[in-house]
Amino acid sequence: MKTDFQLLKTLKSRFYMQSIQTKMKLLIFSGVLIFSVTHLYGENSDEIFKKNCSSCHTIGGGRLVGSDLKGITSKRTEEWLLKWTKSSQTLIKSGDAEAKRISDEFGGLIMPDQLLSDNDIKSIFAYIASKGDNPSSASVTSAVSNTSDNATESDIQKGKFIFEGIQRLSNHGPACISCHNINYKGVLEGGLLAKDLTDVFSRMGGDAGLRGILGAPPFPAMTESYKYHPITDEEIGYIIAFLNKVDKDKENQKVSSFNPLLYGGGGGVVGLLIIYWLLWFGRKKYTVKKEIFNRQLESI
Amino acid sequence: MSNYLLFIVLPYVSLVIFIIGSIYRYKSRGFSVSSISSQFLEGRRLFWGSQPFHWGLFVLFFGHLIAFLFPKAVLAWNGEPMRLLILEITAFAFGLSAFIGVILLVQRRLTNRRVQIVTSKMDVIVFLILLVQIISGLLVAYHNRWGSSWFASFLTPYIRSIFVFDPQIDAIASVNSWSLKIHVVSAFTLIAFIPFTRFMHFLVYPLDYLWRSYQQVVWNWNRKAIRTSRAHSFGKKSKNN
Repeated sequence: MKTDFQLLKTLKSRFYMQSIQTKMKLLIFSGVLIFSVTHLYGENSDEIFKKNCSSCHTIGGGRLVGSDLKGITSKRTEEWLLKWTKSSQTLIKSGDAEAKRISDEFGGLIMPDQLLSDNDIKSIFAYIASKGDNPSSASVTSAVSNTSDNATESDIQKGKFIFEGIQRLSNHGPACISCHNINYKGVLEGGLLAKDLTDVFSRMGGDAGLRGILGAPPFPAMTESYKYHPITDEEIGYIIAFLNKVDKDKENQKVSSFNPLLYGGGGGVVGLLIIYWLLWFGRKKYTVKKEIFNRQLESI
Repeated sequence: MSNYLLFIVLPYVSLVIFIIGSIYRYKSRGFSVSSISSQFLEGRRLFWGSQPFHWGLFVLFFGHLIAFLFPKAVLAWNGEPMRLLILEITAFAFGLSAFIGVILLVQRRLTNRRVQIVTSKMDVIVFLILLVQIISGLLVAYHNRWGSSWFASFLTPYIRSIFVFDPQIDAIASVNSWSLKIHVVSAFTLIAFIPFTRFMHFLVYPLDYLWRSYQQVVWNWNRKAIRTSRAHSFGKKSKNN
């Protein structure tokens, strides 16, 4: 029979062993955690690249909408890349010769501003650098497939309604027609504050280019308009389908020279003048003094 | 830099001048808060200038105010192309009305000698600002059409950003329209000039005229009897109002 002392000793040693086991477990758990965090971080830049860049850029796969980014980090400084990624238009406007050359090379196609943190952008470029330093030899432009080429009539119709504002954007952003015009039968003359969008589909890089612009508008007035009212992916799809159709049909569309404002406004103001005239028809048409003078003349 | 001056510094300077200046003028020289009427001097041409001008400005002022206060409602209204057209054409007609009015008023002031006598230097500035404001507004409405929609989209956030002391000028600075920029700048200039000019009178619009009782004006031609009268009595309030 064990004495109380022996029992106590056994219990103590068990407790000791358990505590070692707990520590080991903790150690392993931390190890797994550290490993997974670093592993996730590695995946993260890959994910960010896929989400934000891959619709227009490849790493070593040749030119898509934008340039092939393989070896870009050895060609340009990190500072330049940060500026370009955040706002290519600002860099071009600042007079940067290289930025302007690239813009010209791509026919003025605009790279949308990326609303990413410095760290995210740096990790993307670190990820690109990890894919190899030598600039890509694949100079052949990859064929860009536009899924909107196969859009159904119903998708195009939905895009038309969204463009005109008949179908409100689900996040309550303004309709495209507020600022943009297109020449398309049955669509009201559009706004003239921003560019005409009749041939925007081919001008701005098809599906990928438009998806980039509509997802993260690079033009400040448009950025402001959709900052708190983003267009959903589904809606972007419909709009692109419609713009693709408009671009294809542009030869058949009549350019309207009718300006509703001029005729409507002109007719309206004539109407207003008549209303003023009728409303104050019984007004005193001459000065009070005139009557006083006349009365005085009579009394002389 | 110039954008910073025009769209941040100017608005704040204008608003400060407007608020302090208006209060000061009202408190210290309250009776000057008016737009001295020249109707006694010339009435026929005044009607065709003043009526189209004031109704035009009245509607457009509240139109801009509504787009600022209820941008979502304006965008919802403009959702139907026909409604957008009706709104824009109506606003443009009132804009033309204000334009015709101000041109006739300028012409009247330039050609009528009796009106010229009561014209101050500040009246000239008032006309200059109004001409720039109305012409640039019409050009914006015509050349950058569907202003009601894009005003609600990015000008409302800009003006709001001024009032919450966090000015965001990227959008307005980037817009490719000189007439719009001139319209915005001249609007803030107008606000700054309010305390120094006859613009002040819009702050003291006699709204109570709408519900006050009638005043009986008695034309008594025996002026000597009036001067020497000891039998003054207070008038009675009319019973038909």
